[in-house]
Amino acid sequence: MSTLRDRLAHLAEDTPPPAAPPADLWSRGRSYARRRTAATVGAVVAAVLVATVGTAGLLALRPATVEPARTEGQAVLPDRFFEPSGRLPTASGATGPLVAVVPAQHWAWRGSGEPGLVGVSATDQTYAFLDLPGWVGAPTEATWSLSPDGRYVAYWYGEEATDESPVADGVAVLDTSSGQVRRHALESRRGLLPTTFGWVGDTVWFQQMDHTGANSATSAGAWALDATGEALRPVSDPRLLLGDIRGTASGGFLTGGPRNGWFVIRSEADLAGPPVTRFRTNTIAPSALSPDDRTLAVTRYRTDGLPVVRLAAAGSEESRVVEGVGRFPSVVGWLDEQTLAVVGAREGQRRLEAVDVASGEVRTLARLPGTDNGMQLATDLLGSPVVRAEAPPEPTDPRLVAGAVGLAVLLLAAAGLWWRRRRGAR
Amino acid sequence: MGRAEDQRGFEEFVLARRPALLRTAYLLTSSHADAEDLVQAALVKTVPHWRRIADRPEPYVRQVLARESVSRWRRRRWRETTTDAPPERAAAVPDHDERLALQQALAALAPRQRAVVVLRYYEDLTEAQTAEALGIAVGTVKSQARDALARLRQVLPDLDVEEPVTASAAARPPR
Repeated sequence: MSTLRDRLAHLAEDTPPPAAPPADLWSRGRSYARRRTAATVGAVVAAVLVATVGTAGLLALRPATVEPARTEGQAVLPDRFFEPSGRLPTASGATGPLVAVVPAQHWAWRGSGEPGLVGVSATDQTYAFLDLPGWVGAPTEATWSLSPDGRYVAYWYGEEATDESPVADGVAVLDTSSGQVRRHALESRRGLLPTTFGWVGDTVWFQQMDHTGANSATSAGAWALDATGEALRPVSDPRLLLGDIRGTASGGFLTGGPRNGWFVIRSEADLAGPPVTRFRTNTIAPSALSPDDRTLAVTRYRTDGLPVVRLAAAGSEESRVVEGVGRFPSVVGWLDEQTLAVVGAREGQRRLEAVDVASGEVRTLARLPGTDNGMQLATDLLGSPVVRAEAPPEPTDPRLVAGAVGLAVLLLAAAGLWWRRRRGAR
Repeated sequence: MGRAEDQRGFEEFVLARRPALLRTAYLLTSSHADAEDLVQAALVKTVPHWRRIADRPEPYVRQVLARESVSRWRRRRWRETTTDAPPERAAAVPDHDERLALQQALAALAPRQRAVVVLRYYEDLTEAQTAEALGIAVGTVKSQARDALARLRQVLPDLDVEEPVTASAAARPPR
C-alpha cells in the first residue's frame, strides 16, 4: 500500500513533457508590473480622494456654529455686501446688532429653497440666516423690517402661505441681542394681511389689516409694540396713516396721508396731527426726512437725479440733486443734515453712496450685490466707520459632497476588492 | 544587476523549474491546460519581484502558484458548472485506476484543502511554510489538512498517510 505522498507523486508524473515555455513571459511580466503600479497609484489616489472629500464633507455636513457677537465691538459698515449663500448656517442665539438684512433662498438638506433672511452682523460682519419661526416669507413684500439701530427684526408670522397673498396670525420681534423671539397674536376671523412696519425707537408701529376675502382686507386697528417687552398697545389712527409708511425720520418714521400730506410719526399724537408738508408723489418709494426735519428726500424711479424737498422754505420747494448721483437712485436715509445715503448704479455696480445734497459730492460707502434683492440697512448705523468687508463662506452643497463621498467610497471599495484579489492571486 | 541580467536569470529559472511547477499545478488543478495557465500566470506575476527573489525564487513562485490556484477557483466557480465526467487523461499505465481515484478525490476537495494537501504531502512543506504560502494561519492549515484527509479517506479507504515533515523542507531535494 503506497502512501499519499507516493500516490501524489505518481499522479504528478502524469504531466506530459512540457513544451517550450512561452518566449514572452518576461515581457508579459513587465507589462503586468506596469499595470500593477498604475492600479496601485489609482488606489492611492482614490484613498486620498476619499480622505479629502470625506473630510470636506464632514466639515460641510457639520452644523456650523455662529460665533457670538462681540458685544463690546463697535458697529462698522462693511465696504461691500455680498450675495449670501443659501447654505449659510442659521444663527443660534444672539447675533448682536445687524447692519443689514438680506433676503435669500435658504436651502435645506432636502427639498427646494425656502425664503429666508440673512443677517449681517454690525460688529463682526458674520452672515447667518436669522431664526424667524413662522415668518410668512415673501421677502420682497413688507413682511419684515429691520429697526434703525439694527437690534430688532419685526416680522409677520403665521401659517405657511398657500397662495400669493400671505396670511399672518400676528407680529413677532427678534431681539438680536438675546436671540429671543416674542410673538404677539392678533385676533382676526380670516387672518391678517401683512403691512409695513414703522419704528419709533424700540417700538414698532403697524396697522392691522384683516382679510375679508381672497384679495381684500380691511383695517381693524393700529398697534404700537414695545420690542423690549410684552406690551402691545393699541393706538388711534383715524386717518389710517400707518397704512402708508414711506420712510425714515429721525426718531420716527414717515407716512403718507390724505391730500398728498406727509406726516412724521414719533408719538401717537402725530397720527392726528398736521402734515409736515404736502408733496405729490406718483409712487410709494423709499423716502427720508433729514435729522433737522428740514429736507425730505424722495425716491423716484427715474434716471435724472434725486428729488429733495426743502421744507423750511415758504411752502415746499422741490429741487433735484443731479450732480454725482448715480442712475436709478433710491433713498436709504440721512447721515447728517447735509448727507444723504443713496443706493444707485454706477459703472455697472450697485453702490451705497453718501451724497452731499448741497455740493453733489459723492462718496462710496459700500458695493452691493448686482441685483436689488430687497436688502434693508440699519439706517442709524450708516454713519459707522467703513471697514474692509469680509466675504461670507460659500458652503458646498451637502448633497454634492455626499455624492462625491459615496462615489469615492465605491471607488475605494472597488480598489480594496481588487487589492484583495491581487493579494490572493500572488 | 541590470534588467538584461534579471531577464536571463528568470528565463534560466523557467527552463529549469517549469516542469516541476507544472506537476504541482497539475495536482492543484487536475487539468493540464489549467496547469499550464496557472504556471504561466504565476511566472508572469513573479517578474515584478524577480530582482528581490532572484537568489531563491522557488518559495515565492510556489506561493503565487498556490494562491493563484485558490483565487482562480473562486473566480471561476460562479461561471463554471461542475461535471461528473471523469477528468482528462487516460494514460495506459498499470495503476491507472488508483491515479484516477486519487484525482477524483482531489477534485472533490475545496481548493484550499487541495492546496494544503499538495503543499504538505507533495511539496513536503511544513505547516508553517504551507501557511505562509497560502497566506493563512497555521491553525487553519491543520484544520484544512485534517478535513481534507478525512474526505480523502472516505473516497480512498486504503489511503496511507504518513506524517509529513514538520521541520523545514529546505533540506529535501526539489521535485
